[in-house]
Amino acid sequence: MTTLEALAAEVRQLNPELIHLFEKLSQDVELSMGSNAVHAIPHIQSTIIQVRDALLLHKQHR
Amino acid sequence: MSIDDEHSTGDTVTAASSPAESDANEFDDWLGVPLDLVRDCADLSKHRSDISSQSFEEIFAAEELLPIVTELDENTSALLNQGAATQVVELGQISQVSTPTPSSPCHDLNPADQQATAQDSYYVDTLYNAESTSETQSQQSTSAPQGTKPVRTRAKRDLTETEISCAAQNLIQGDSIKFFINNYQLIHEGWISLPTGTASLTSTSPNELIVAAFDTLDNLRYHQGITRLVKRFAYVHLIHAINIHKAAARKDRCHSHTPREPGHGDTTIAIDTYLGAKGTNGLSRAQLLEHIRKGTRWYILSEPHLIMLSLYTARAETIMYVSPFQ
Repeated sequence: MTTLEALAAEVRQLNPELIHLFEKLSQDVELSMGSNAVHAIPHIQSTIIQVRDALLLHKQHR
Repeated sequence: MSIDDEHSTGDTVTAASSPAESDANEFDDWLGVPLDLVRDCADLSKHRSDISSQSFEEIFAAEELLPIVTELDENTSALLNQGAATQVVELGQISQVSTPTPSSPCHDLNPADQQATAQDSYYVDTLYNAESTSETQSQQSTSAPQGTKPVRTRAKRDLTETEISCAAQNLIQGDSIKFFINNYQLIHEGWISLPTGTASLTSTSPNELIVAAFDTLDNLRYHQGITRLVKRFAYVHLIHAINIHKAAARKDRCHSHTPREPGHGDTTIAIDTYLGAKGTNGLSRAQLLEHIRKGTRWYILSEPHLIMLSLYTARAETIMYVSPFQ
């Protein structure tokens, strides 16, 4: 394992929950791409805005 | 909109109100992820270390500076046996002994680690015994005490686990939730460049894809307001394109369609493809190699999900400018 790979692995270890969240987001986006990726762009935007709203909501309630 | 890596003012952001704000339960099962998971994962600040202002150029340079003892002399063995504050790092089967930097907490090792690494230090690679250079001999004559063996002062070692942990803390955003809220539009814009590229993967030949990926990176230089994040996406996209081109080249080679000269690997073929298409109107071979080098580093950091690129701070950029050949 190179130093850079070790650094990347360490970053992934810092917060597994965040990585899980990103994984869910990525899966949703990748699934939406399907055969015609360009048509997925509005969905990606919608998903990211959903994430933003969820995080904003969390900040307000914290 | 400018990306705000380490000095974001998330508290001042007033995002447009959304229906979600009126219904907290709407996001309880967002994307199948419970809201409490979002709550727990949002803040990375506890992981963030502000104790070091080192760039990664400096961190990697530190790999080059520690002396290597090619054969443990009596003084070193005595120090190790006494558990002295000596840091020993194993690189394969090569033992290395260095003095920790007092000002850097990243260099601290607990006694158990010291003992374990000291035991490892006895596995000396005999190959290095035969590689003593005139440089090391001259340094030995001026700095090494009498009775010590030849010392290499420019040998490379890996960072220790402690140093890796310390460095990784400087790689990440202090508050990922604030960063995401502030920069979600840029993340979206960067991300959609990939689906667009993905569409081209199915409709474009690998050769055209390579040329387009290099050109995209080159064109970013002329765009106003291009952010670091978009460049990171572009670098990773380049590596995706190269991987596709490599697969095609490999397939071609296996079927012996294209004769290949010795020393011409898949990356060389990819670069030749670009140069053949652009001639002298495009990037030079050195520039292409540099793009590939940086792209490979971003690709490693982006795993397993592309959006990971948004986690990294501006300081992570310094990794990309460290040449492995220095």
